[in-house]
Amino acid sequence: MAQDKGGQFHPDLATSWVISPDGLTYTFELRHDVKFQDGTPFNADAVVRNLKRVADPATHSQKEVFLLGPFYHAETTDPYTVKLVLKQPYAPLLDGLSQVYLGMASPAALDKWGDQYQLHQVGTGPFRMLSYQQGQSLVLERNPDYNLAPEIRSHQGPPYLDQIEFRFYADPATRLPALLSGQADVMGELPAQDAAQVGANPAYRLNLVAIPGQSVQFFLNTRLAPGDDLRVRQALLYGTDRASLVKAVFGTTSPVAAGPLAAITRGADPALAQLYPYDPQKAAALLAEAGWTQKDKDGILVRQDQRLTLKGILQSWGELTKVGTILQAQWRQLGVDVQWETMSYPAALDAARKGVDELIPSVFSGTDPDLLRTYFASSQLNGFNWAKVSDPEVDAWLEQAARTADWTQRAPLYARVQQRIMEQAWILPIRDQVNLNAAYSRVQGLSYDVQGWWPVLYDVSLVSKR
Amino acid sequence: MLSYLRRRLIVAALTLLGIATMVFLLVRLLPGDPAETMLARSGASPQAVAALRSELGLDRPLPLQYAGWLSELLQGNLGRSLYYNRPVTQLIGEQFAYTLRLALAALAWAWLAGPALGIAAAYWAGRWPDRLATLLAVLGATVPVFWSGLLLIWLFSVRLGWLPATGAGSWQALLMPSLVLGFATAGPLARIARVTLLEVLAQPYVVAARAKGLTRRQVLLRHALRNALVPLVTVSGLQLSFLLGGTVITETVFNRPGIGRLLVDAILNRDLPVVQGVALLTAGFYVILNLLVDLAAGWLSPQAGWQ
Repeated sequence: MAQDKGGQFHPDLATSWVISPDGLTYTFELRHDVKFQDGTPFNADAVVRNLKRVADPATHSQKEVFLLGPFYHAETTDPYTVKLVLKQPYAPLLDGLSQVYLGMASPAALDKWGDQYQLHQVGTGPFRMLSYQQGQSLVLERNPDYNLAPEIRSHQGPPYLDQIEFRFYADPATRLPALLSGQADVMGELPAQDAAQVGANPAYRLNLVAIPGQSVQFFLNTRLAPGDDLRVRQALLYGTDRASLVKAVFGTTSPVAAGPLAAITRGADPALAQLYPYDPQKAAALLAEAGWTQKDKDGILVRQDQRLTLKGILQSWGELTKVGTILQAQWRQLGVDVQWETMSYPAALDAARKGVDELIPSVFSGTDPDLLRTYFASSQLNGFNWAKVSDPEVDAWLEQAARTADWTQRAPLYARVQQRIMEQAWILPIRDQVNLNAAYSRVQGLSYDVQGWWPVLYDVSLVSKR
Repeated sequence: MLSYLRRRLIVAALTLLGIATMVFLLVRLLPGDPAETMLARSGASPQAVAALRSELGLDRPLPLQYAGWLSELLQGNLGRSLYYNRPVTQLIGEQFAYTLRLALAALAWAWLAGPALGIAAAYWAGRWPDRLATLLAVLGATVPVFWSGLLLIWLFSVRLGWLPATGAGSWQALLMPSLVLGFATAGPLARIARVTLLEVLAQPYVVAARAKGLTRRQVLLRHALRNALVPLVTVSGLQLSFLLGGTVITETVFNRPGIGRLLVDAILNRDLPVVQGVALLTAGFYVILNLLVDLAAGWLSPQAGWQ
């Protein structure tokens, strides 16, 4: 199915679906008139084959198997009906099934290519894979037989573009030159300064796409002194001028984050924006209440010969070095010393799991607020629960919300979780993630999907040669 | 000659084994867990991480992992990439073609410019061509590639629109990165050519040749240059092995695929089989090129000798 930006699902390969009252069985009716790009018929057998392949540990699926949640098994009840059975109710299932990761692969191509399939993918979509050179390019060509556009697209029938070449620009500094020199018509993930430069150029259109999911944030480790004291954590939030920080590093491209979820995420609680206005007096008062009253000759607060020093992790993504520098300067005025250590991603994961640092940066994209479970459930203490929190109420709300299909019942549960996170100052939210895209003016009809990362190229056309 | 070659080959094989062992141990000293790194992006559970760790054999004792890896290695099997789930030899094969092309093109530029600059500097020693050549050589050796590269991109791609800013598909795309790298490589060649030529020019036999009535130019080109070739070839061999393994910055700036980026990405992803494979390959080239350079030096100059 296809998901629109309001979180509603629309028919795609599945024309309809029914969820059993216990939330365990999903029955999908499929279109009868679909063929894979290699001519293999699309039917219930193909779907079951795909689901089984993802769930098979030998496939080494990571993202897909995660999206299927507590998947138990799948079976066909007739040639165009699939029954998907879960071990326990799992509300985010449709969200997972609507994502590109769980696109359907031709069983014939799976048989033919085996573990080389990733280089020879065959699906049902508007474009088919022509060639792929790792680290360099992926070329797709128009599928002239495509006639399954979901109703949320702007047109029907085959796509407008004959061919699309994706090129990979791993280093952010190389992206703007590639766009300006005509090597690319559309570029994603520009650095903020480069985006400002493109925005001022009438030949290009800047396209800011808000990314739903976790906001860019620092987890505050609740089990390490001095951050184990709620007042200290709250003081850090009151003592951070987040608006100035975000403006200094990202200009006007990225909004200040209010809580654990980016504001655009379904279920993000708008009330959180009222919490923790910049208030250095209140921060100082909270620190004093926690016993941090004296300052040493460097202006750092001390309590019984102990300096108020925090250890934090920085990484190379998201301009974190600049963010860290500004935080350091702002907190120094409070009398808080922060010592940053820049780490590679694997080293940071390791340190965060072991809980040896007080401040751990994080961001994670996703449309369903169930992602909060990954970061705040006590079952994740050995995983991604980097604030090291164990709150039975939060566990219960998250679990219940994941098992409840009805959104009107889920939303209040997530609101409660978010309020608890902020009341307890388990995180320091920094900003909502925004993908800074730019396109040459001849590109028409470009939009981005609900996840924010993927351009919907099906509706794109070109108005002129470059 | 043959016994010399045999001895050198045995030493080379032992060196490679030593390198293989060190690489194996070093990548395991890196902080961070490959299984966790792989799964983190999808938000997997601690149980899934543990399962993957065990499946990858990362929970086995180190000596067992080492023995397994070594026996695979002896059969020419470098394993499968954890990150791409593809054979390491396949990945390296794809990326190496790009690196080889870039390295050879860069070396060609360096050979066009480096020795000529060195000869000019030696011929007009102490005068302005010498100073200009020295300046260029120092610039080549010191100007960082990411700076000169971005400058070229700005000029030739963004401003003039003559060359593609990035990519690896065409010969045009090879021009700027190979020039930048070639410039950096030419510097040391020029310096070595200059120093060696000046040294040779001070030898008694050169004085004798001059006394015979040969011009300074004739002496330089006919007699001195042959002697200067030996260090030039030696240095070029080292430079080529360096170019084959360490052009990651150039690859990044010009967004070219290649061995350097494969290695850096593999380190960041804790893709241990790829790190091991690339490190081994690079070291292997180093050893083989060194051997070839020694043989070439012996051929070029009887003094170096094959004992």
